[in-house]
Amino acid sequence: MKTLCRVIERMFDHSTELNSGTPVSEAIKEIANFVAPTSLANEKILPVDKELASLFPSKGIRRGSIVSVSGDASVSLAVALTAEISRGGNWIGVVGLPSLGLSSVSEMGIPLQRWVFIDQPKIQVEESIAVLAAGVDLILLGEETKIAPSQTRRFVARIRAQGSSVIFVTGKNSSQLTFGLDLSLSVESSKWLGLGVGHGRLSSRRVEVSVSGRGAASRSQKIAFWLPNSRGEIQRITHSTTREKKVIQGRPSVVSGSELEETIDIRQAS
Amino acid sequence: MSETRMLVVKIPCWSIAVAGIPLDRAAVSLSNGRVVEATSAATGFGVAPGLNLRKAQSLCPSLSVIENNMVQSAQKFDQIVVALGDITPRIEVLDPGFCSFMTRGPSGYFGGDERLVEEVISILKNAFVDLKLSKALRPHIGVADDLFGASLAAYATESRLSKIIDVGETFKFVRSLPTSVLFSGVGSFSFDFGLINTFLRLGLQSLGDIGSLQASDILGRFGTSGELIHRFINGLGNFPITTRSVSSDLEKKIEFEPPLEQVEDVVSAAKSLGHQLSSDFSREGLTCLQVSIEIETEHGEKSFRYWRHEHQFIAANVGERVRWQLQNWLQSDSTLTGGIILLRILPEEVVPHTGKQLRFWGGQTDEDFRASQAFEKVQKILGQNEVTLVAEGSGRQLTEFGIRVSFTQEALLSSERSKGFFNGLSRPWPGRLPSPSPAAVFSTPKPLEVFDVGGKPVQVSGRGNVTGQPATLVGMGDKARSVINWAGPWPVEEHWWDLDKHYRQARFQFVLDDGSAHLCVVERSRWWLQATYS
Repeated sequence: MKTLCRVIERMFDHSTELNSGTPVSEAIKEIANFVAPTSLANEKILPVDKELASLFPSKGIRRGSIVSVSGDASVSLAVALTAEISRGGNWIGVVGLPSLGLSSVSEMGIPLQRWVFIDQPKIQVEESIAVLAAGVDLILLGEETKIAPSQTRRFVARIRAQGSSVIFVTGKNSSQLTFGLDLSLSVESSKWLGLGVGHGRLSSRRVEVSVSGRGAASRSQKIAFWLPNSRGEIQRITHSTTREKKVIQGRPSVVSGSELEETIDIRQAS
Repeated sequence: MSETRMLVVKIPCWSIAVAGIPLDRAAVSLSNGRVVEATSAATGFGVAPGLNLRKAQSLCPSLSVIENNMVQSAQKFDQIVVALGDITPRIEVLDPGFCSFMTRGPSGYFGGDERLVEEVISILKNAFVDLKLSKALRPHIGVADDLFGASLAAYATESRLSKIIDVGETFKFVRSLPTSVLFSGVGSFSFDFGLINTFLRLGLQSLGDIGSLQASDILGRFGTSGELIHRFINGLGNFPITTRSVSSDLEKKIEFEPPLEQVEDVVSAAKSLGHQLSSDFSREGLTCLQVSIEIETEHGEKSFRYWRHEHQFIAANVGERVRWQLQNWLQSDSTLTGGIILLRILPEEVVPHTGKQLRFWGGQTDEDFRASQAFEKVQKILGQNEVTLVAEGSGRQLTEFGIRVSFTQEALLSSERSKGFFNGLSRPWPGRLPSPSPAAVFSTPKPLEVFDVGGKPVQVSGRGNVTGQPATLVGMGDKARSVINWAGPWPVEEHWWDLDKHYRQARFQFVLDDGSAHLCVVERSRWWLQATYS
């Protein structure tokens, strides 16, 4: 390395290429390799929780991409996708989701400090979102925001150019955006566990997400998750974890001892 | 007569009085989840500025709480300033409820500080009557040789309305005060609370103790914020004894063609002027503590005000002050005939900049700067209150977990203080729903009807017994849904001591035939859908 640097310095001193055995162009290439950041491509990808990474062919949300999340558990899934980004100190914008439960966000271990909300933009919707996109890294866009079909193409182009990503959150199984969608995640089934008839409480939920998209994601696949599991964490259900699933489903009353105690406590306290 | 002798008018509980809450009640005004002002009834319980709402409510359960509405407070206070304008034109507003002016001229005219103070009090009393404010509102007036001393004097009036510190006595007076006055005594100086606590723990019980330390030691140990307090105590202040004459080329003005009709447009122009000002200043290593703002309409109507800021004016501050001034003007003078054609901002008091180091961990980042610029632009399109941040909330209800505050630079900065809340470290609130929480919480619950297998409405008795097993649910979508799983009731009762806020409800969790899970409540025999586990 030292000798290479000396070659370069000499070149600046004498403004000529001195004969020292190594051609300078080679030397420069080597130095460039040495100082180049190792993860150049990764900077263009917003990180997601490692349990959810399998949803994305790039193991994260590519900057400038448009993703849709639809189905029953769509809000929770969309919020879960922001976790790593938010923990990294980046800004998240939430547009048109006035009913988002803040405590559910916080319970996923997501700091709300850098979350900004626009509840119901009424005028210049596309313009405001595009301006917002310049300041945040990811926007969650709720159903109540209507993007005019005539504006869609321009809107998507602006978001892409600014390098921020958008997640469309739709409750039903249809996405309002048909153009420019890079990836669509749809919750096919969601089942809550823990609640019996007159006893127990909601504790965990099993969801099945189907992924479809273009490019590397065009081969559609189905992945199952706990969202959350009984410890409040997000967990991918692979073959090794199916046993937990069986155990929970196999339990007759679905309520563990400690949970039952808690329920009784609440009743007694009143 | 001292050159810098100042009179300070401080009206405690201004924001509370403006909101129309009787001052004999225990009440606080909140900004970003922290108490900023508390009535004497509330301080009797130990409620003090700087506490969070939860602590304040645990000290005093019957507390009335209002959000500090800066614009409204500033608007009402402007009428006080107009009334005081009979005494001197150079009134500086530090904050709504807090203003000051130099006594040199007026005091000579009225024949001494005592007479001047009497005059001020009678003007204020009349103004309070005009504004229909509570009679219990008591202005505090302090006169001393500098602004800091006068603010402390206004704080230390005790049972009287005013305290006048004789010429040359300010130094002695300030040093005799306990260190704890820095918490609340000096309003908008906003010293670092953590640092004041450190001083107290080090045994520096009075301001004299701090003041007698070596300036270099203070600077070495506690940095510029410690040095600032030290300078104030020793009467050196943040500003020079003689105001530096400001060259007129620092004046910033902008003419509008065609005239502007919207407040937001003028405010954003003011922000850009503010940016120019602060970049000019930083080039010369200066910072600005006081500005005058002049606004003129196309028919020659003018509004002129002085504004002071204790640290430095930055672009956002300037914009905020222009907004206050404009809104006051629009409110008070309905005869305005035309749009705004001229905005002039003149720095009045300029001091050397002591520098501000961005913190290595936490604090403002580059990202935040980029983000706030974008948010301000969105606010320009949609309006000030449409862009919101989250601040720490408190309560058992889902909607009380966090509250939304409009985005401002101040809100962004003060969110740094609620680190524990944002990192999920705040202590659990008894009576809250166990996790997982629902992802969709409706601010206005939707009415429902719930029936048992026999088709009779399900009710919950006063003792918490359910009359039948919930089987069908009507009101969600078009058709009736059948209930697969359910649990409850979990009763919640809050504020039983307060007739207005008292409620009693029973929570239920339902899983319906389509697999969706919901949180429903019964209150006064009626069912409501409160949240959905979406």
